[in-house]
Amino acid sequence: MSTLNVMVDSYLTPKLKEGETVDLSLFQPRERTNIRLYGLENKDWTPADVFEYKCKWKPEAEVVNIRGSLDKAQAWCKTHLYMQDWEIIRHAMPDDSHNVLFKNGPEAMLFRLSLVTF
Amino acid sequence: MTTTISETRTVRISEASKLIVKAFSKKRPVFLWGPPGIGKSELVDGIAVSEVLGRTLVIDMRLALFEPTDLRGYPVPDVANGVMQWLPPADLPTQEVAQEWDTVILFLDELNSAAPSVQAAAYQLILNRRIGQYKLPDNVVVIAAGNRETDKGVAYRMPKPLENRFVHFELRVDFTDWLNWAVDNNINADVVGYLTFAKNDLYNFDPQSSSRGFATPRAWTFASELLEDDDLPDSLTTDLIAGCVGEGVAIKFMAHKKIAGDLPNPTDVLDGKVKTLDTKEVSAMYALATSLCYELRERNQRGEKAKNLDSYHKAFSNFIGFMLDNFETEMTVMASRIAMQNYKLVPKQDKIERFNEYFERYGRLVLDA
Repeated sequence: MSTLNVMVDSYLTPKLKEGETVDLSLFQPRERTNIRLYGLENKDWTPADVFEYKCKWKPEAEVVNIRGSLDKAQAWCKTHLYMQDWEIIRHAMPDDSHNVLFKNGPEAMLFRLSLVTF
Repeated sequence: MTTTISETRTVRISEASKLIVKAFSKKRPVFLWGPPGIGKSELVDGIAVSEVLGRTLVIDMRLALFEPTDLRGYPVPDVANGVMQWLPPADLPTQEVAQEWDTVILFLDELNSAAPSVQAAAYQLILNRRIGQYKLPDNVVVIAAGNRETDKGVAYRMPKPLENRFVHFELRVDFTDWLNWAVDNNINADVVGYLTFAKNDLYNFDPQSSSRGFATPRAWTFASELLEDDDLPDSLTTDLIAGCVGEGVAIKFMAHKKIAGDLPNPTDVLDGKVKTLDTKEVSAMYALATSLCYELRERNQRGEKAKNLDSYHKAFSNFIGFMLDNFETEMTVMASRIAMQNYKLVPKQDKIERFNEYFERYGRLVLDA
């Protein structure tokens, strides 16, 4: 994959839902950032909103344990998911492995298929 | 907790690359031991290509072709100073060459095939990083490889002092490593399909056997290349494959290939023209799964070039639908992993018609595996 494609597909590009379009020039810088990271619906979110939202789904989260590959895991999540729908707990286990928490099961499955050898 | 101490501890090729990089970070020379054809040389090339050590140049130097005195260099009289100068071999990297790269790997392949006197001459180069007046530049790391004495290759017993100068790893063949490598390198889908079904046939080298052809990852690569054109009658193709991997395995492979020949065209499957699979022969289905992944990757590349991924998304949707209707669980998971892990093709959930069904059927299994 070319560097250009990686950039286009990266978390810097708004991840829009089917049928959504957005002209980023119409928004304030903070809203632009929010659209990129959290989606068009959540353009007015504050860090506190993100925290509260995460607190709601974390108890029911789908957990995938990874050894190493932290950078790859982070890059994958940033590229494919909204920031509020995942979280990495570093060195969560006694063997220094990390836990990746997902709000949605299907995304956890795709993550596992994409990155974890089993 | 108990620790098993074995006389020879083996490592997989994928693990070895991490260990080598670690040893290199301390400039420690590494020796890779292993039977013929398992991919020792490719492992070194792989480290260079992955650029894990930055831009890397590999210099492949076969000491078996050297005389002991060659390593020190060719004597040239320096009349003005009244001394003898030594011109080192051109294979050794100069400061100027080394400066152009982040890392230079000096790969002494088949080191233990060199006469013991040549191996002894290499002591100084390997441990002290210099020989005579020549000094290895700082960014050069040394790695050597060779067959074990039990492999019936051309191998001399390595002098103990030289042995002690290396960090040793003995490699073993691992199917998953090979599969990852094979799908990244477009190995013939019939070969991948057959070996996924008959994993033991990936490697059947027996040093006691008199057979000239035996199955190794390298031999299967030859077979894959020779199968590319597919322009020979079956009987001759069998001879060709037998020449690479041995007669017994070749006959089994050709039986698989015959069934695989009746499989639907992967293009038709991804276009949605074919939705059912008549054969239930497992090895043939593995071959089809591999071909579908190859085709899917091509669709993705074409879509990215044309900046329109609609056709690719449609193909991915058909791919998932076809697997749901026709493949066993293990095969579906394998094909999904090749597509997502090797080719980084991650489906967009809202573009896959039967994604919910796919998740319901395999989600728990994948997450709990």
